[in-house]
Amino acid sequence: MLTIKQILAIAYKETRLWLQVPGNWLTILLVPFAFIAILGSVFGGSTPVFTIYAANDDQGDLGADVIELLEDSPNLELEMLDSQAEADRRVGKGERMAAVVIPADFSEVVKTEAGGTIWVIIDPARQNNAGLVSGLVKAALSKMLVDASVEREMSGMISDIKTDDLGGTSSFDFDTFIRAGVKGMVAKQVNEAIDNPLIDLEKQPVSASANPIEATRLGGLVPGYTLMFLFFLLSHIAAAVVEERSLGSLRRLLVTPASKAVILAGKMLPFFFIAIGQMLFVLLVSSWVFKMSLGNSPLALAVIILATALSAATLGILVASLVKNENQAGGLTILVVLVLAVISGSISDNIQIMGPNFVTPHYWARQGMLNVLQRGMGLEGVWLPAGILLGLSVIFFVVGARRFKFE
Amino acid sequence: MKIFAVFLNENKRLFRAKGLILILLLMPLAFIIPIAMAYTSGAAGSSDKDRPLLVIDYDGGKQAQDLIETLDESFLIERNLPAEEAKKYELDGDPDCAAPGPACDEKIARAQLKESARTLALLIPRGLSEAYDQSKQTVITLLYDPAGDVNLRDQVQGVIQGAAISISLEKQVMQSQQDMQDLTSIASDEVKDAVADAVEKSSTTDLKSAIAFEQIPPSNYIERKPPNPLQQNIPGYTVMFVFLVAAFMAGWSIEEKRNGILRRLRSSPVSTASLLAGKLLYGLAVSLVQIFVLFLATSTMFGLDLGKDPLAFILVCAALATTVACLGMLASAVKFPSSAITAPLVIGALLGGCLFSPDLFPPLLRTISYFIPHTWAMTAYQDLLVRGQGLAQVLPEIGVLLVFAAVFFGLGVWRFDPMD
Repeated sequence: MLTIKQILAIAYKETRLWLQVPGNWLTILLVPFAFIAILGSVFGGSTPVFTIYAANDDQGDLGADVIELLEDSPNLELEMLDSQAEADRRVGKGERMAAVVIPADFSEVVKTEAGGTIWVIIDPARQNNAGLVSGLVKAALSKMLVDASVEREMSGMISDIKTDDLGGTSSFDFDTFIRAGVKGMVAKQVNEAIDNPLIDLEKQPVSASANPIEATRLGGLVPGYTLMFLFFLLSHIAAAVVEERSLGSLRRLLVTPASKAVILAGKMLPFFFIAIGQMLFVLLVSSWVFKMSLGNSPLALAVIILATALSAATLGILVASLVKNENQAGGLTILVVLVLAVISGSISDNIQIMGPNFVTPHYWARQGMLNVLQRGMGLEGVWLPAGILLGLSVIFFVVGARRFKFE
Repeated sequence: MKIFAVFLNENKRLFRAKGLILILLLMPLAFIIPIAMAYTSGAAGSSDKDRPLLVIDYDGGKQAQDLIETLDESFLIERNLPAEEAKKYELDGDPDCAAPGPACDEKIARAQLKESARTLALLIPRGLSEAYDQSKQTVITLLYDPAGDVNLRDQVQGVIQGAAISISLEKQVMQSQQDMQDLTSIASDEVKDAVADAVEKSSTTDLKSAIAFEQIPPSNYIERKPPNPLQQNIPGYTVMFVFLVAAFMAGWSIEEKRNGILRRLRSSPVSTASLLAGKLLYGLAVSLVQIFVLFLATSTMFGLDLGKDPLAFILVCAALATTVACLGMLASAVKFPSSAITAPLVIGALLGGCLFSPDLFPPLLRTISYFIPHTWAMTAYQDLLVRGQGLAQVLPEIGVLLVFAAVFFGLGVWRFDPMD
């Protein structure tokens, strides 16, 4: 009982000290919020909205129709330019990643056998998104693609009909009849192609969960970035310890009846709760403001949050036992944390070092969070990551406590 | 002279700190190597063509083959998984895996997706080609790991839908011709015959779409190497990391204040200007070393092309290092801990386009990005490393970076108090 009281007393003092520094609030709450707000505004929808340039050099109706269809696309935002030359210059300067250009004779050449070409100028520096942008442009124009192709073939066919021997039908009546017919056929086929394509695509998530949820871009990004910011706490813990060490207040704590383990537990406890608060804050904001799913199991989410918070707080104690001055506690710890985020795949799913990533708490925490938030899993998705995080926490705390120097 | 004395003093402190110099050299390597490895090993895909897409074909007919061939133009198509995979997922006893085939492939793919060992698999159902011939709809299924790469999923979806439209086009035209013939049933026999004759003569085989799309680079682009994700992404991560050196400098300075070194320096015959200039020089040297370690490592180990204009590259590096050093000076002049400075720097990297393309940002954020130094450093490096540009093209970016440096320096001098 006395031990708990001692831990709580030290934790209370630590919390007060931490709260007195406004910069701490900024790092823990405001900055992750700003980061999530930016990510949410970009990836909050199902597919992000790309802003691209467009230039229409065509004088016919078809060019204007292309622009109209692109403007109607929910995933493209068009900025109109006067000419192809301007689009070329601006994309060349990297002002936008792409420009859609409709050439001068587009409406005419589309009717020919060769067909028309829409140019998509892509900035080579951002070519990695080119496939996605081209796909969005094609998707936006799919209706026109069918329309133009069917109309060209039908017009080609009727132009071959000889109108000199049509019995009692005048060539004018025949022409009117046949053109009205073609228009009707084309409209029907376009609607068929869009509403009932011969080959349709269905997406099916495959998860170990019996009740998978709709995975989103935001849901895939939030866990990694939440963890990156969470582990910035290490520098707070380390800086607090270094400052106390240099002021001699750590030494003074040793004369109290509290043991070393109790003092360290007391120092760790506030950061454990701050870590929980930070993760809850980020996840709840993402859920309330950007409608990100929090999964099917609040219990599983709570388990992985608690395990992650514990690993961050204990790793903080380990780091505090290793650093010797403010510089190491501050900037250097941050650089280490950033490297860990890269190795573990927190910054990008595609960037991680297989092998070393397994010894980072980020990796297991992220896997646990993804299992709950994206794969819709319950406790079965978090027991292994949470167990490993607890194991790592024990190692961090024991090694940290053994190495910790109060003077 | 006094400036160099201060600079040398800073360096002595750096070399005295055990292991610090090693950490400062190793840290950028530890940061950039995993990133460069991901973009060169194919983990992040050196191009869409390197991204694997497993296709499980139950149909085996012509239309399924056409679809697979179209997808093969965009992705690395995988088919017929090896028998070892079945063993690995303990499926060798499964009746579906008694002989290799699509049923076994599907079971393996589902097991891999559940374990995140695979991101996507496409199922082409039996009867697709037959249904196509009868103009009936068939649904193909894209299996995906919900926690997998969403970008890739969207790209595959777009390509499949595009391929489906192109394959269907022939049918749409044939159906139109049939409808036209049906329509002429109310017309005279001469009209009927004329239309039937025209339909018979027209060919729908090898039908090409009336509208094609072609991707082209801008005309000022000078290709040295085909643009690849390594060239495209390394500048962003480098700029992001280098700006964090400002936080290191802040921590360095806080320690100095606490130890009273600054106060002692102030009592020496060194003016505040010399003191600040010496410190700035030190920050510049640390930043430059970091930049060169990052670029040289990726250039020598992973073949990153540093552009055609070494002078322009060096000047951009110098302008970036100056900006970072001045920001570090400002950071050390304000009383926030270095952790509080780091977090806004990461936000700056996000807004500056180091992590995602600014084309994805809403207009307000895009406007804000112009007031972030990361944006200008990124643009300059992309001009040199990817767009093949030279000094003339990056001079505006160098100028803007130096303006940022001047503003940070001015604010730093204003807030600097060695007695604090």
